[in-house]
Amino acid sequence: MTVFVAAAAPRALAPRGWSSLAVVTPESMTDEDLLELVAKDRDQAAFEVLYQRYSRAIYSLVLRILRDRHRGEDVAQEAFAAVWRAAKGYHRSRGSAAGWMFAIARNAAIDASRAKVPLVVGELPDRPDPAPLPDAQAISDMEAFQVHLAVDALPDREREVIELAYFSGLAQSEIAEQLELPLGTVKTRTRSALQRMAPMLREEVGR
Amino acid sequence: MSHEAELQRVERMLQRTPAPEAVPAAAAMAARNAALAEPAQVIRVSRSNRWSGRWRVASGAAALGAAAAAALVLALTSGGGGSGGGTFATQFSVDLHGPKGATAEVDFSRPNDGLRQMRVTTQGLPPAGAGQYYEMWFRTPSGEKVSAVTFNTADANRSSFTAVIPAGMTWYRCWVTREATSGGSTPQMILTT
Repeated sequence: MTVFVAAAAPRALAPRGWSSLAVVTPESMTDEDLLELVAKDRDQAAFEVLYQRYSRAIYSLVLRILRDRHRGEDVAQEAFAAVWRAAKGYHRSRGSAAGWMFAIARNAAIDASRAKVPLVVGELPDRPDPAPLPDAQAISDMEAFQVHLAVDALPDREREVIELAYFSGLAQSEIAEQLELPLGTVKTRTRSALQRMAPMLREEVGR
Repeated sequence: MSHEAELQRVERMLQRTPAPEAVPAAAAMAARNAALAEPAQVIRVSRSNRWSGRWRVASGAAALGAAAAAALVLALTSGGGGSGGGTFATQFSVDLHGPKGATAEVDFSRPNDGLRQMRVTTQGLPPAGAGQYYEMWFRTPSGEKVSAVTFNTADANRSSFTAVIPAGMTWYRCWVTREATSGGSTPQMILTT
């Protein structure tokens, strides 16, 4: 029997070594597989999925460092351009794709912030700077990046309750009211989301 | 670590994490397109692909319509002339589609002196018809509709023209309508992203 594949069928991507019988959509692939497709084939669909997964976390990271919305947009744009350009430099043996992308975005933001601050020669401050030390700041940036990625990976209905609870500060009863859901449903979705996020937040991004 | 302790750990992480920032739609599109356009392609526009008399700025009321877009500067050339010395460095592109296979590709250059060149290449877009012209629009993140340029075609062949927009202008949607010079009839959507 001859099987014809319609040319107009949705594109399926199969990384090297995968069975050609399995239809793999970019959305179902790991970040590492997507980065490899970008590196080897300059695959725009793979890049698009990476963009969808990472845009909010990278944008938030860059804004946290720069504290300037306009420059943040430019730097986030530059970070994604760098991911596209430098994908060949990623090797999965050295760590996760998330860690690699975190490093690219953070470096882009730090470079931009250094370029912005003029060199000022003057008196040293007489009080210690309350800002966290660079290492501590990096860990905190990494954790926030990791949490944002994990939240973005949740199904919509779970992400909604998590964002309202933890990022908008609503009580569960208020969430129930706002979403017109029974309180029990809000509690179930919250718990389910936390369970789903736990393994994602078990490993360090930059392992 | 017990299951409950694990969930509490996730909760603590969430509690000390600031809310993520929403990515502005215009920034999202620009970032995606800028990345996919890397490294910047330098496209030489051949003499035959420039105006060559096939394009003309819609006159009369149409030109007034364009003038309403005060922030936008029309930089059309004619007779084979061209701005930028015949080169165009694309930073990102947007495709517009319409009925019967009509398309337009809009290439945006990198900013230069506060302006960004925009090259529009249409294919399969017939002349607008008597008393009508085409108008390109952008929707800004604040919801404002901004007219970018008015134009017409001499035939449905592949044609190209350039205009400039402010480099800092952000937008998230672009489309082309067919308008009447009398301004009387409802504009028709012709091409859209």
